[in-house]
Amino acid sequence: MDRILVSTVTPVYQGAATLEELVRQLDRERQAWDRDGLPLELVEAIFVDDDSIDDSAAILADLAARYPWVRAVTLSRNFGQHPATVAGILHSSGDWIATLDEDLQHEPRFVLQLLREAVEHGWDIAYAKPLDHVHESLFRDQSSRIYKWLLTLATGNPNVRAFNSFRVLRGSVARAAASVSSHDTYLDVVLGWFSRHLGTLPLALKDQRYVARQASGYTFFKLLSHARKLLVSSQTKWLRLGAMVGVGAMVFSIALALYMLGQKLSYPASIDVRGWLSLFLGIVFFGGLSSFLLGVVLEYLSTLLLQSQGKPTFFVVDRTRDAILREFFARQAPHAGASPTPTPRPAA
Amino acid sequence: MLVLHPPRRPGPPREPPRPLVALFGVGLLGCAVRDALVGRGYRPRPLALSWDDGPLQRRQLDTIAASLGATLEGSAPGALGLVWAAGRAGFASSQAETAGELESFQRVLALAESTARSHPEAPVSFHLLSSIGGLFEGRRAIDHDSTPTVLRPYGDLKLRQEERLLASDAPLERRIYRLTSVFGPTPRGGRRGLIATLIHNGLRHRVTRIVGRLSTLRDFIWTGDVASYLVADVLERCGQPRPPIATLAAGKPASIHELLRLVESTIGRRLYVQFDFGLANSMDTTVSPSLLPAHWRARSLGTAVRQLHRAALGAASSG
Repeated sequence: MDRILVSTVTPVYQGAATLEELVRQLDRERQAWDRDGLPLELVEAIFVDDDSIDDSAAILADLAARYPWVRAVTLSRNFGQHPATVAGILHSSGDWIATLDEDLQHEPRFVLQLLREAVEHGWDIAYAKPLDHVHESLFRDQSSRIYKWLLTLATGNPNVRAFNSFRVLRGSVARAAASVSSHDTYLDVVLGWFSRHLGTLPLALKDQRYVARQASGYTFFKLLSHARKLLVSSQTKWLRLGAMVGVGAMVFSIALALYMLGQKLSYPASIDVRGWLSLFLGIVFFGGLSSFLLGVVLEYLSTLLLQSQGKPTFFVVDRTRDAILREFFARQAPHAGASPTPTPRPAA
Repeated sequence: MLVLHPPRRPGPPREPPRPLVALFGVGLLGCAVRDALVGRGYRPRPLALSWDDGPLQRRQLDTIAASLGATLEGSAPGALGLVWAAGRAGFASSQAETAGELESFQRVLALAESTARSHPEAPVSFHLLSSIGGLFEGRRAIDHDSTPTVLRPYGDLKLRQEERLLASDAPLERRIYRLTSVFGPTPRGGRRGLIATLIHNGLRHRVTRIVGRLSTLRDFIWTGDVASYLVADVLERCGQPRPPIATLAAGKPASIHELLRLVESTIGRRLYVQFDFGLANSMDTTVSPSLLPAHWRARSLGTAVRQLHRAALGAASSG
């Protein structure tokens, strides 16, 4: 049977308490797929030790020795969750890659549902969307929503609200995106450079670590750093707004100059104070011109930045093998759960 | 082919003599093996061996066997290591082309077997460089449970070579190295691998034809790393109990897209490429790290590409 290979990628920073259970759940899922005759194989579970601060490294070494499909990749220092995820993706060879957190917030049993949604809708990226309060804290959940809303507004990227670290990615797209991701780019934005075929699936997710300790791994400064990366990686459309304001100011100053010239010729007596208007028009015109030129320069810079960051001219994707899964799922009973949401596709 | 004599040591021997090495094939990998041995003080001596003329090859192999036997009977070396790094066949080769290569291999293996039988006092080891791509074409995450499934004559050739060696009843130590996609400095007049070609053409603004897709996965290893491992095997680890087959891979797949991006950023130029999908060897082939042997260390792709780029710049500036 022609099987679709699935890899999982998990960045590890302080997973000593949860890694064993996560691997156990992955193993259970792996065996269930095999037992149920799914045309799927969980071929590898890649754990990226991001210079972990607890016993995670030793636990991973032990797990890798016990389970041949568990692979531990050790980073030389702490690079952060996104670079660790990128490293894991670049070590994978699956047709699909599921990225999961280490803290059991993302249960492996949901991977199949995400995968099913992806192939049935022709998506390359399927994000999990929390059904209800992930943190069981009104403040934390609302601040997370507002944060994403603000970032959507600032970047002009409607997909920002869908971003979630629990995702299923088409392997070729994920590896291509990972290979152009630098330390300062936001992986999900880069994924959007390669595919706009994405959607979300509402799932019951809980941040158990936050619920237990009421403390998030995401500090205020980490969120600021994330926001900065997101803005730097995004197409800086708001720069165009500056240029457009500049052009508007120039047009306004020219129109006003023509109007005042007409007034001067028709009703010379109506102008009492001489000189102020020419000064005003000069400021508006040259201020507008400066804004416009600055906008143009920033557009050039933005284009160069995105080019240096690796935004592709094109990328080729092969979705033909999805048919294997689609046919299999079509033979199964319709699955229960909330309906998925394709996210809007912003213009390139 | 080359016979590599161990370094001479002045004064009474304080350690066991090093083996004599017979290297068949001095292409991309053969040159790397030669350089690794020369780096350890070995002295290469070329001997003529035809790859096209069967009868001539037989006569030349008789001469080589006599020469090796005479050296083994002398005082210096204590053992003989034969390394098969030869082969002009590739993924696009026909059955007829691979058949000729298999015959040459069998003749060299017969030479090793007769030498081992006639010199029981000198341990003889045979080291065969094989191909993961040929044996497991289109397979991903190849591990201990994977069995070869050849898709073309090239894979069949590699499988037969392995089978012949493993089936030998001569007192030979047998070692097979299954390699993924190797790359390294191109020997003079030799074939360039994909990465060397990308760098070479990129520096000259030429188009490179790639067999595969942007998403095609490969596992690239540096010839120097293979040579170091093999030479340590020949010189230091012979006689130690270990499995006869060693898989040498990076254990980290790299897509063509990743490779292009890496080469572009290393050489600082855009690459012009043309893709051919329908040809041979365009499928993914990757290896699980669990298959890799102890002592094997593969340098990162980024490091190796930078080394190759530096070598290419050095070659270009020296003419």
